[in-house]
Amino acid sequence: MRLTKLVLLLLTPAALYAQPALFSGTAVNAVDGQPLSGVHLKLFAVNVGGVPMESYGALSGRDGRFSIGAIPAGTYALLVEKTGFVQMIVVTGAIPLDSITLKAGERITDYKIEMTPRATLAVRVVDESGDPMPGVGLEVTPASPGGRVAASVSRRISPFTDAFGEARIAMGAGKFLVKATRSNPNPTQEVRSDGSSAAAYGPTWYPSATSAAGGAPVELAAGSTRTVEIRMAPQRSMTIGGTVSNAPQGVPVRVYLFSGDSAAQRFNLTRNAMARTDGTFAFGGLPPSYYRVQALAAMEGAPLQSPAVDIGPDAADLTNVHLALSPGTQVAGTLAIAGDAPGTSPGKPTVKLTALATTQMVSAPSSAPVDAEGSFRLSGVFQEKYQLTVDPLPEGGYVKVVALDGQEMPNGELDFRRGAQGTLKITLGRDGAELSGTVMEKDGSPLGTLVAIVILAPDIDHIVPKREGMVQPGGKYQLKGIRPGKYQLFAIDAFRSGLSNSAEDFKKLAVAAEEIEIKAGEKVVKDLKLVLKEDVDARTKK
Amino acid sequence: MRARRNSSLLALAASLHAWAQAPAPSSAEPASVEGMVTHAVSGAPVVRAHVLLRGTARDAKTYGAITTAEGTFAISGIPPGNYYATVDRVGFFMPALPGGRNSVQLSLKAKDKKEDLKLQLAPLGSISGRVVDAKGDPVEGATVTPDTGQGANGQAREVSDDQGRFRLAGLTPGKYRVKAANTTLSSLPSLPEIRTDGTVEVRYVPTYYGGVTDFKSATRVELGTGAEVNGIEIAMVRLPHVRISGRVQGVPAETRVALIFGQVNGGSRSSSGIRKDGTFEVWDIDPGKYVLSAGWTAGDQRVQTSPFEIEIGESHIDRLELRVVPPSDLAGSILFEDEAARPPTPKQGAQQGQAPNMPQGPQGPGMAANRGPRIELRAVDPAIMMVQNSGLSSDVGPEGGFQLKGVAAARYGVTLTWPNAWVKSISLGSQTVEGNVVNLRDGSGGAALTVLVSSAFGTISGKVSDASGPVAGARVVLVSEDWISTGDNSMTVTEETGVYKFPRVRPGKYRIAAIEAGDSAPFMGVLDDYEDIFARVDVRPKDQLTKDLKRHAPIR
Repeated sequence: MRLTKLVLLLLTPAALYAQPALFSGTAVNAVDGQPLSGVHLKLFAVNVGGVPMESYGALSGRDGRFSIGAIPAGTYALLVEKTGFVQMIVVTGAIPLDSITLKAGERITDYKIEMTPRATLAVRVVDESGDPMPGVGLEVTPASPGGRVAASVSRRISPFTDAFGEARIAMGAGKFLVKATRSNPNPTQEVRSDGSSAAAYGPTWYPSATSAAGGAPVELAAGSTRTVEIRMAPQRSMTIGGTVSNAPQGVPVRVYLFSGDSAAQRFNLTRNAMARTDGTFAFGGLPPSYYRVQALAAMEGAPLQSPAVDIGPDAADLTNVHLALSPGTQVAGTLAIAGDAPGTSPGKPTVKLTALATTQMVSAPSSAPVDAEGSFRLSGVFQEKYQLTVDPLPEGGYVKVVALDGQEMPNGELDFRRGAQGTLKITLGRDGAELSGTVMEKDGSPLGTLVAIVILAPDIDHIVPKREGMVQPGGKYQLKGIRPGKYQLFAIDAFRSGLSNSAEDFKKLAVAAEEIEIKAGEKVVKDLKLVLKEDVDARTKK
Repeated sequence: MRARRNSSLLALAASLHAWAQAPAPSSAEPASVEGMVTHAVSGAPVVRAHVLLRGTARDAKTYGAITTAEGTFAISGIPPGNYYATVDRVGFFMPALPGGRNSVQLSLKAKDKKEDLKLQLAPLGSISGRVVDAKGDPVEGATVTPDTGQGANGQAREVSDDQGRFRLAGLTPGKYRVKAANTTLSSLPSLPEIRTDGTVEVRYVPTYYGGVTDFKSATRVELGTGAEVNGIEIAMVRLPHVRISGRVQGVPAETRVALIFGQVNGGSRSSSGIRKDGTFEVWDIDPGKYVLSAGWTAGDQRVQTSPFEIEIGESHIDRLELRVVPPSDLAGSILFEDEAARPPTPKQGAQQGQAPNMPQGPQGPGMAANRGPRIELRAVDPAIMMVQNSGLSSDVGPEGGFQLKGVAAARYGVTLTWPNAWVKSISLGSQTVEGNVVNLRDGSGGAALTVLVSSAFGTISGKVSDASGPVAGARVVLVSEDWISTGDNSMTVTEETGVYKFPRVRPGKYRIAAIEAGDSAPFMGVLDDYEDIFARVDVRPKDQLTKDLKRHAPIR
């Protein structure tokens, strides 16, 4: 998630504080081992925010030799290009590029860059009747784990078939699986009376398989062009429809459909539609997936909302989903700071409830100021699962306890799905702990890359970072205002820690986490080693 | 920029709107439609084409069918009502119908059996060629797009291969400016490479077919229906690395600043290259004219430096000073040159140019249906438009007074929401400028704004014809000579007799031309394609001008 976005942001010189290093070596043709001239190398450091990155470049000479002198120590992304060649790499991180870590004063003189003559994979995508399909997204992955693909800064911008259903992809030699995904299923719902039907197509692997396991590898020889045709596999489709009730006269109601990869996990907004004047709605031609539907009516000042209804991928067509709009309820409470004398004003913080699942994408959070007596009143609270936050917190402060009608709500999560009611009691602590230290490479030297984060999470089910800190120059990190307790702690970067795109990815990474117990008011210094993809792979295999 | 074009097209949408809203008779007896889809060029039937009937009434359903091997289709069980019929098939498009419409309108009564709906599909074309460098060697990995002046055109976009080859597929007939931009590794946003091996990093800038870097000078590629134009070779232009540097004043500590390079012709580029001391250094912005502004968020306030015009070419631009001019609160008044320029007294639901039938966001329909007269300020500095999406506006009191709060420093176009008046001149304090643009880049200095408005419009009308006589449904555009400042343009469509009319033209200098159906460049102020046929008009108050126009033979 985050790390992939960082790449698109701007980038900065890495460590500027150490003795410079030398990076030199030879570029060769991977097929015949002969030196390759005119290969352009670029090393660049990646960072979030700052000024444009400084970059270092070289061009290989007739003997294939290249040399970049005077580079500050650090970790750099390595880009290489030469017309007609690609660099085949094993992808180990969120950024599909090789990375180079240079230590202060280090002199690398024999780095070998292997360039593979470009092979072109020409893909044609057709539907059941053999008609070409435009706008289909294509993804090429190695046929076996640990296989190589062509390095690319733009690999994530996956190619799409053109208006004639065709695409050409630059690759090197190897065996690959090719996956075609129809990116924008036609949302028009039409009535057909001529016996035809609008086919729904799910992800399809070459030649026409519905899973990666059923796909046939495409073998490419270096320097060759191979044309393959993918026939999209039709898929069962679902219809989800029903009725919205309690809509005031004349107020438009919009129904939102979210899809998710697994039950109650990350949902994305897929479609939305106005409910008809009689309150009915329908979404057709949906590929099987986990779905959530919810209705909202935008009344000025007081929106109406229905509880979310979840639907599994095995459900038959549904036409009777009932979404009852309600104005939400008020939830009042008090806020105090532990250890402060009663009646002490907590300052002027705001208490905010943000929907944990989906509604955050379509409706605003509910927030309320805390008055001088420590009271607050949240309105427009719906039957949702919420995360409670307080902002601003006092220096070193944290949310210590959130209690609803006297019962403690762990991690400040409020489950109002069975009704939004009760009295909140929030206690802040001033004695938050502080955690700092250095993130290190495998060999114990400070981390050179700046696209790295330290993640502190209360448990395996809350790995998607609850607390995270960007790594600063020299591998330094610091987290303040930590609630005392037991945590999972680990550090990842964008190049070497594997993917971090989903909750599942984070859970995987957490196998390499350390458990740490932090006591109130402590200032803990903890050095960490970067989690590497190979470590995660080794541990998950056992 | 898109908004400007849309506003011109709204006239067309509005004319269809009345028809679309006709009430559907409520009868249970369904209708049916049968017909045939043929190839617009060969006349042969088209198999597996997808026919759609979209109901126009609220909650109406959409009906579809697939054509048979004989090109025929049949749809039954259609509730009576009004429908739009369209057809689509991969590799084809539906040619515009007489009157510029893109669908066939059907009114179906109970038990109607329409058996002769004829629809046509025309094949899409392609443009192929090569991208080469200064030495004529192939450039791999360049992104090639057809540029219509409004950014990318649909899905046609290709990355050149190791021979430099590209093919842009799926194009409708027309004239295209084809652009190649180097998107390989070297194009990452960065400072120029530091090299210690004595070599020099090469910089290629986005280049149009014709070997030029600006949109207007590009050579156009003419593409007929279903044509495949080959051999388009784009030689990338090589330029030295160019630095833009300077300082942004008044940035609070720990604030993230975006530098916005707004382009008058649309695009913009944002860069966050600002150091902690407020200095910045940005490299290799594509050549062209820009309006530069730095922006950030302070609390919940958006702050921007006063827009600054620069032209980026082949030399460095250093020591720029970007400074914040505090937003102005403007007290103003409208002077009415004549009584007829006053806003009409509000009756029931004055139509404020509200677009009918526009899709509504999740926030529901516009609640502003019954608003009184308003004055609106729209930033014409592109860097400002990027961040301040919504314009500023104020109610106009019965005596013509208005109040505008928090107006960011920029140039603005001033418009009125009542249609019977135009802005003749604007005075800021004692400075008066003709026209509807006010320069607030240095703030208002506390001066009051006086807006002189008049009801004395001009009119322009005439007849559009081509070699074979009057043209019905031809698009006519009227573009202000001061387009760069004001973005003023309007469009109308000729009647069956070939006659067009602009009933309310703000006096001033314009170019007017009958344009091709799919051409959007005129809405960007570019009428170069019509140099041989456009007319210049100088409209004075109450003028009633007649201009007959010629139209190019459409590209077939």
